[in-house]
Amino acid sequence: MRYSATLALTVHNFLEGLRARWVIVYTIVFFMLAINVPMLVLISARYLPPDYLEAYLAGLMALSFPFLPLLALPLGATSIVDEKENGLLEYTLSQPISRLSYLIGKLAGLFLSTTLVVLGGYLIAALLSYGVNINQLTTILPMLGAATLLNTIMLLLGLLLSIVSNRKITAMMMGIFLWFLFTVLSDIGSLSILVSIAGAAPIVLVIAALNPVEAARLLGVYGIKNVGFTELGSIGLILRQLVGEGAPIFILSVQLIWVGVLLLLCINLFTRSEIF
Amino acid sequence: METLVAENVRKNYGRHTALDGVSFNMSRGMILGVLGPNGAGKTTLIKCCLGLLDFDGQITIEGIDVKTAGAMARARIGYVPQRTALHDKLSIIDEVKLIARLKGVNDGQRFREVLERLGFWERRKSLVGSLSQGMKQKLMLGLTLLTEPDVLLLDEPLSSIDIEGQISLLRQLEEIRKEGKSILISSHIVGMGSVMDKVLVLNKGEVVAFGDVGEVLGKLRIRDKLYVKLHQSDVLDSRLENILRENNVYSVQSLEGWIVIECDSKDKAGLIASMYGHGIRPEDIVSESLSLEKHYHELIKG
Repeated sequence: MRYSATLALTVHNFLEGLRARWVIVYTIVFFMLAINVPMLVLISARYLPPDYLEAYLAGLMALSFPFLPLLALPLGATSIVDEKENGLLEYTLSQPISRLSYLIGKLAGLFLSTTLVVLGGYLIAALLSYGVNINQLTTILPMLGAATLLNTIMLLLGLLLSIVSNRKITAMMMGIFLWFLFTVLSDIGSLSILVSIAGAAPIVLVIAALNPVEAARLLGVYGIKNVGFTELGSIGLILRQLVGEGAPIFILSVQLIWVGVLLLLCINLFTRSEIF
Repeated sequence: METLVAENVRKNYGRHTALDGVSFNMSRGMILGVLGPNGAGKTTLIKCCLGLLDFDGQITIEGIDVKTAGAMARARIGYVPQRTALHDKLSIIDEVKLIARLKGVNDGQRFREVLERLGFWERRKSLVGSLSQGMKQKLMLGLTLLTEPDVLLLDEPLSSIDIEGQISLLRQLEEIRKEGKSILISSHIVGMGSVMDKVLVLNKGEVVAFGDVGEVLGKLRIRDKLYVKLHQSDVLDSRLENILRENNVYSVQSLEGWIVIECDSKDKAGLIASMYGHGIRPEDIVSESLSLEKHYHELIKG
């Protein structure tokens, strides 16, 4: 692997990612979501207690995390397959670079651009709107970490879809279906399971493991000091009951396994694929 | 010294055999034409040479196996695909810089040399998307020259450009050949025959013919047609009969005021010069560019 070529592809994909129309629109919407204008009015009118930030973070995560996949998932899902369709993948891989260089460059570039949008959105909102100073930044670090992990998983999932698809529209549809599955269907599904199989709580571990969106939210919520049962939700409560203090470690491990498995799958499938 | 050697290359797409035991070689400075009807396996063969497809058999570039050392082999290759594939949102200079870095070149002077040679330097800040197909293809050919490749692979280079572009491209290929580079061209246009040294004819993935261009194209009986519109007095002139007799002409037909002359591509200019030499001034001259497609069956039949 030639590092200069990988770096060139990383920079190119980073800039392409920032230039994408979808990313620009998403950034504006996401920033407005993170700022939360009505909340801002309450803060400026001093209607909130001094420790409102921690209490508010759980709400912000519940509100914004389901929308985080909508940045990386479509962007990743269309990235490689789009180049397959317009012939750029064939042309790029006809250069003296390895498939691994190409994939790492693509992944790193998109990771940097999407992470910049996500972290930038939260950080700017925190600094400008909520008056968070540097000393208080540790309060929001768990949320930023969980958001970065979720973004990475969604990006890898999107890239995997892009590698196995031959048409952009197919990859996009699969990406949207997965988002729907993680945010809407899994909620309905998990609740119905919990209700119907009361007493078989360990199934919650599987549910938490299979849904990176819910897992990321829980990871962020566990990072808040005085978290209430409403913030944890039914899955979070059962998980704490089952795993105890190790619940955050369990969730973090599951998220890292997602990253590892998806990365290996992407590398394995892409390096062995044929470029027609 | 052989620059490209293909030995018993086989490629299947499921049950369909795209290449069936293809073998050939190219020496330094050679232009090889890979000809064949649609679906013959021309593009598949080029993609195998680039290591983009898995295949059985062996292909080496300057002795480097494309299967085991793909990136190293590709460093010796310049490739221009049939479809122009560039980043439309990048400026010309940024596109050159990106491809150069992928090729391992980071020399600003080299970027300038290549862009000046192609005539793109003045408009280097224009977007790639603003270029015509012909200009994009010219740029892609230029990008191959950022390094000093031993082999150029051109997939149907004349298919999407106008006559002016074709002439310009043929001239550039001649220049590149003089630098000692080998060029593999897949094409179905007869006009390319003038620059080719050898021809490889494929049909359904099999090699039907491989040899010197004159020998193979001679078997195909590929000739150009020259349509000449003459003044009425010239048509009846015995001078014209002499000219046609003196030149290497295969057939002459009269068609609604035009004379249709069938001759070898290389003899066209001499024929026209001969007419002017004898004081015949045609009103109009049209040369028909023939497709190879309709001649393949003759060769395939043997």
